Amino acid sequence: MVLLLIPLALLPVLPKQRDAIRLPWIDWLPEDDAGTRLHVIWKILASVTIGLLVIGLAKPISPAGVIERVGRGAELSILLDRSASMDSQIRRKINKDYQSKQSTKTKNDIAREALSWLLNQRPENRYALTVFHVVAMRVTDFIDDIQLLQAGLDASAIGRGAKETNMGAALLSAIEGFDRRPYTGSRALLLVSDGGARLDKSTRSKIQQGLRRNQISLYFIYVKSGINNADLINTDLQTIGTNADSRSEEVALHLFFKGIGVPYQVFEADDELSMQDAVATIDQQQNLPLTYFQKTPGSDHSRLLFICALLSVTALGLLALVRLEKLN
Amino acid sequence: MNFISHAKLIDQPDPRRLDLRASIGSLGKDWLVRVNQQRVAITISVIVDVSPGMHFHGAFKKLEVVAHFLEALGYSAAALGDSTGLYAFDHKLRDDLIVPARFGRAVGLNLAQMIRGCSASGDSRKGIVSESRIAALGDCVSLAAETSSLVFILSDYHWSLDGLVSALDPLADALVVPVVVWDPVETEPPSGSRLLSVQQMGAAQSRHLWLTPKLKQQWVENVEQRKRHLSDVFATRDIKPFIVTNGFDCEAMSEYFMGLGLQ
Repeated sequence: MVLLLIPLALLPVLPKQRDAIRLPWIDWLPEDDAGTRLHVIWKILASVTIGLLVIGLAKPISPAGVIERVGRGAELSILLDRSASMDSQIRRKINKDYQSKQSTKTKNDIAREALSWLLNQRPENRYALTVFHVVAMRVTDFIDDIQLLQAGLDASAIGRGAKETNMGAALLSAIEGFDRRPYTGSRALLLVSDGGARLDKSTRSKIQQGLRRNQISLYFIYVKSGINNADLINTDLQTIGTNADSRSEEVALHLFFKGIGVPYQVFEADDELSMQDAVATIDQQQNLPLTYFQKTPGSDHSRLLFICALLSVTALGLLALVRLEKLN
Repeated sequence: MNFISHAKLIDQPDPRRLDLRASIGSLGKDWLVRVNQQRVAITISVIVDVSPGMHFHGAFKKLEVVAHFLEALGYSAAALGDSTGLYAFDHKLRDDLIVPARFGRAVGLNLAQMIRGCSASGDSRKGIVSESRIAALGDCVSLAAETSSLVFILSDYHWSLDGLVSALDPLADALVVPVVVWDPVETEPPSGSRLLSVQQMGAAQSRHLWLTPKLKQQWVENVEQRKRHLSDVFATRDIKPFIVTNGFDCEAMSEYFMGLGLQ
């Protein structure tokens, strides 16, 4: 709407001048090229100033662009368990009487620290963060804004989560994040949880299809709560069988993942060190060339225009200093 | 017959009017004759240009200068029993500013009042071509010529002077005094080196000057040249223009008439 005022810029070049001194007779005034040239400059400056101000007031914004960037790393969707059990501390062994009480960390702390390390180590990766307990909460879609991701991770430490976990919905939600995205590099879903789940048949089929369709590698970091948890890595399949419904929930989940047909790896973490090892391994495996598109915001040019207008007004002011406004 | 002054016999060679007493007393030992004037009431017409340019207000208001002149003229005419009339024009004869010649003490004041209150006519703002001005002046002259013996034409003469002299033909029997009303603001360039943008009143013409000393000199020379041109044009009819640049001065007007030898 402001641009409708742009014809105002023509005011200074109109033949009828309101700021000229009016004399009854100008034929006896000598012709002067220098004066005529200065007057033309005066008019152009005035016109340009009005034009710049009007365009500046209209706030011209260049359209948002998309630039293609090539980096290394992967599209990594982090699925972090935020159920109440993650707030419990890792206990590997009971302290002896003579041992001082060791400061312990919650499973969530350890997971967050390891993930923060990953974020800072590979800022060029594209991350999506989803936390889940009863429901899945999408914190961010795929971005490379580490600060935002870190803030999301930090926020997951606040309060306590719900007791229940709905692993199936969380997995589906994380897989959905890959849908309708161009395939630009390796993709991985990183599930950090301290428990498993028995998934019903339809959910399992959806997860399987989703992972296959989107070509997502799956990493499962199993945060062990204590020494009595199942050992997924060293479990002999023969002893636990291949039935996904068998045994404990985490074994069931592990067996289900294993049978999907996408690259899958499980890590067990029962302290900070093993957690970091797991993350470092994933980082190594997923450090491949990655092409992605980054949106660049439209830039507002009004400030530049106002600065130009200011310069123009300054020039006009200098001319006005030597310009006669009246004769007597 | 009123005695006016003494003159040298050589200048006024009429021995019948020799004044022996005055001649004996004269310091130059000249023969002096008496100069008398016969008192006759005459009709004076004043033709005033009220075009946009005459509404200019510089150091003086041009029409105010004209009004002062009319007051002085009215006073003088009333004292001598002369009647005074007014005719005005811009691009045409101004019917609203016509006063037939009449005698009276307040005539000068009334005419001055009319001129002070007059406005530039609507059409005249569009710019006045010289031809229409000359034609309008011709109309005024025709009206004034019927009765007038003395005709003042007050204008800034800021128009082409071609055809001006022939427009004055009907006034062959009258004494014509062109009064050129200019203002110091238009005749003298301002001081200092400055950028000046000017536009002609009542026209779209404009000019832009960077006032260097050379340019100012040129400006002054152009004004002088215009004066000479005016004098030359009127000289073809043995008329001498009376140029007013610093307000109306009665003394200067008296000197002007003395110069004409008409006192």
